[in-house]
Amino acid sequence: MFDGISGHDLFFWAFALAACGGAVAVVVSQSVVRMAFWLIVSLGSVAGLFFLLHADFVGAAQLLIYVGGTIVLLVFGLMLTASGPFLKIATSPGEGILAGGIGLLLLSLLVWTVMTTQATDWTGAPPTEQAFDPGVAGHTTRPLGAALLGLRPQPASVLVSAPVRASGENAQMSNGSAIIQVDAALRAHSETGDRPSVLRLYLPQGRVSSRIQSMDADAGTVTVSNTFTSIRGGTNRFEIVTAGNVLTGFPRVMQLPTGIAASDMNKVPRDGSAMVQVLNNGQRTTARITDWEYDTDTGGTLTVDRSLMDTKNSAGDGQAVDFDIVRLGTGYLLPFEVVSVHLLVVLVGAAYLARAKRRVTAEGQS
Amino acid sequence: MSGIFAAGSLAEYLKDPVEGWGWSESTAYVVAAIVHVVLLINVFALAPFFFIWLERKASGRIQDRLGPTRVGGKFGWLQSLADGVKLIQKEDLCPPAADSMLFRVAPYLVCISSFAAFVFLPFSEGWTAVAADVGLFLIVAILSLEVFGIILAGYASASKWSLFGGMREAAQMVSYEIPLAICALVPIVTIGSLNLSDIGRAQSGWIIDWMIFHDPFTFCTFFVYFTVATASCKRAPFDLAEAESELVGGFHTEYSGMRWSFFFMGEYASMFLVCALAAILFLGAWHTGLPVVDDMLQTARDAGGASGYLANLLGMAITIFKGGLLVFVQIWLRWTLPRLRIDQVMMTCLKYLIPISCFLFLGVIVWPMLWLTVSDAPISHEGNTVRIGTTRTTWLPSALGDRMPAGPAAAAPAGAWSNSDNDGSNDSSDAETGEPQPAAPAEAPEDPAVGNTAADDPKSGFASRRPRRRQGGQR
Amino acid sequence: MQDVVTLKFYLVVGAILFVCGIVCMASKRNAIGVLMGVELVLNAANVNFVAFARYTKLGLDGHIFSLFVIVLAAAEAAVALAIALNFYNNHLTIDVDRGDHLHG
Repeated sequence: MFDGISGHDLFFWAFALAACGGAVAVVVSQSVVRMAFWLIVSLGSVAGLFFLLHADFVGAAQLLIYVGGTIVLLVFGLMLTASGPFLKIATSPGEGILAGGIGLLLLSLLVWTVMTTQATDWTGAPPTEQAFDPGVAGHTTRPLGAALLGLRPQPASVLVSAPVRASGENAQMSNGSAIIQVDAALRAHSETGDRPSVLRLYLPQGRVSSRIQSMDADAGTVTVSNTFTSIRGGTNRFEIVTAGNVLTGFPRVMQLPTGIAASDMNKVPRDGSAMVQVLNNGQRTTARITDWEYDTDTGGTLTVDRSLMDTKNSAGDGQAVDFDIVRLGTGYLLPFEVVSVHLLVVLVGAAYLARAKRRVTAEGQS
Repeated sequence: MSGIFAAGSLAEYLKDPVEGWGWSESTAYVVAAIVHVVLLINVFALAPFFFIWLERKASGRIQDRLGPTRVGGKFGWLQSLADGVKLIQKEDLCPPAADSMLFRVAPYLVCISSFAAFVFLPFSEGWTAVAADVGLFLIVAILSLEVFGIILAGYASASKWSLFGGMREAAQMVSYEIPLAICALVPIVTIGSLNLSDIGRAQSGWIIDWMIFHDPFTFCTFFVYFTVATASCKRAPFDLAEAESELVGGFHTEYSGMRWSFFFMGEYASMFLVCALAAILFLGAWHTGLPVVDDMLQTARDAGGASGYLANLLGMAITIFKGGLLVFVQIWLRWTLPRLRIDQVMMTCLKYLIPISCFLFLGVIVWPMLWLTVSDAPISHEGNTVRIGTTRTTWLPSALGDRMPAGPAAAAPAGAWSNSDNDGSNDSSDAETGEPQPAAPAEAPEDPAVGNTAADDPKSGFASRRPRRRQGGQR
Repeated sequence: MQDVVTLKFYLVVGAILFVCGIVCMASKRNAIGVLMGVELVLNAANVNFVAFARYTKLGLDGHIFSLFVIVLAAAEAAVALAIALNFYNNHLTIDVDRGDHLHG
């Protein structure tokens, strides 16, 4: 039916046309209540675009606060200030054409800018790896909440990562399968001790990890414990990492694998200003590090301030997970508090401003 | 694509070239969406069908008369069908002075928002059209879009009665969204997830594990939520919109025929939605409350296949039964209580229900602290969840420190459990980490066996209730 | 099949919304209509933020920015509406072209 167009594209075109069409209708409508209706259509489609971009929480917030709150407020204001039913305060055609012309000019400038700007970062190099993480996609609620309370990793501040044992460029899998073809790099890998490994895949949309259940060096395949969906296939870079082991509940201790350089580990502070990010069965969990002890040859432990096991995945002790230790940034606690106070002030102020006052009559006398 | 657009595992199954039918992605998503819509339309259409009949019968009995008795047998089972046929064959009127586009669109807005919220409602374990991680948030958000239909209907009808009724109604619905959201937050805070499937799963076990019996605050929250939900559905005693004696018909004065019935389909479907939501949030969702039965059902589900399907079907029937029971209570209330005036309605919301729901929300947050200070109940941990005696919660405040069972926990630090994900303390100002823990040292050498009693219980905890992850259902 | 739609498509959508908002702000005479233009502009910014969060290294910070934008837009709409209501009470019209008492 729709062969050749991916699901994402199909829904993108639907929502984008609705959003832009609604916006144009807002400009073109003569009656202000119809403008409100088209604005609802447009902003609802923007919420749909947010869902497409894996921003579930932001999309829901858009629907609840923006569409269900702000526009309701505007419509109430409309009703209170409507001077006669369906009175149309129209712009004169000349002004309309002038505004439209300038708008088209601005639009062409913006579109030209978008089309010609190269996607590079500020050093001029093209971005190599995206921050987008399928482990977080659609599950943004917890990281957002944590960030608003101050728990946010500094960008590009990975201090320690799970040590890589083998890597290659040719991991192939089909969508929904658990068996991955890897190349000869696997034959060189050998399991060290009793630490289970994790397969880390670098997909176009980001890095995903899954626990390795078994490896077949002859056939060159790795069987992982959860299937990857929403992938596009093809060949991808992969790494087999020796993973950390998480224990459930108390004590909140994660066992670190051998092989991490002492110089890297010594960079990890013990005062709670670093956190460990664990990618576990497609979900990302984080916890602050309160203590650690480590030896490169025998491994060590990391003590954290909350359980790293997500409630969905309490599969028992010793679950192998991919992890990064990152330095904590300051998060967004201060803006959050400032905006909260700001909202309270606005609430009181707007209620005061809009209080019922004596209205000027048509003759100009009050 | 993931998240909202996964449409459950049906789309993944259709896409899968190995196990499924290997369709292209867009075809798979569209077909999966159509299948889910067809299934949900049945719920959306049959709920008003049944509840309108129930309303007429119940109101008749309350008023000492029989209600419909002619169509479809002695009890008038098919009365709603007869009503529907009558409404369809009526003339589609539109007042000449009305804004015709908005007049026509308004009922659709009400129906669309009411129907779209069903998409995120879990009827049973895994039986939800879209298992969104922000499911509850989305339901509240989409229900808040119903207001537009009311406002536009009131405005576009070009009639005084409609405009007054519409504005009053819209003010009422918008105001009652606030306590609705706060009351819906209470189970979220207790269980720690916005995902309705998680909230349902967390209430497995005995009937005492249902959220309504979790602590006194959630008990009160259920009743406050029910009141607020009744008000936001424009049901009596908050039904100014249908105040025939005052406003002729309120916002739907000028509507007739099928358009009028769309408003009422939307209303009854919303009633069922908020009642089913109350059942899922507070009354144990698809669990029967008897571990014997629930274990049998869970075994059947884990086995998969036909027995799993039947177990889920039974779960769905239980959810619908609980929701229907609450709808019956709403109907009962309508015909028992007199109508409130609009100023009484607004005062109830702004002066009483909002402070009460805020107080209950605070109480639910403070409850684990109180419980810790006054009780010696054993503490056990399952993953991220703490069980203090029979009370389950997902976090503990840091100031009270750790009361861990001895044994393997001896290696853990005696420092505070500064759970910065859930309280407002900033990283740099963690004064609590340095505080001595007043109760902890005296009680640290607890009997190690004490902490395991709850863990030994095979029916306890969220962890034991994980369903086996279906193939291809990976998010 | 690969996604044809990439970051630039979303940015173009944002640009169209932005321009519609600017034209609405510039050409409408109803004060509430001007406010609707403001809402469109803010939404265009939100689309940009979330698109960059998805396709570049911006990550979750883009989501947080757009949450703040949504919240502050609501606050600003409340105050602007209160001002518009005051204007209406004083001039008995919502036409912004009539607010020219300080003119000349």
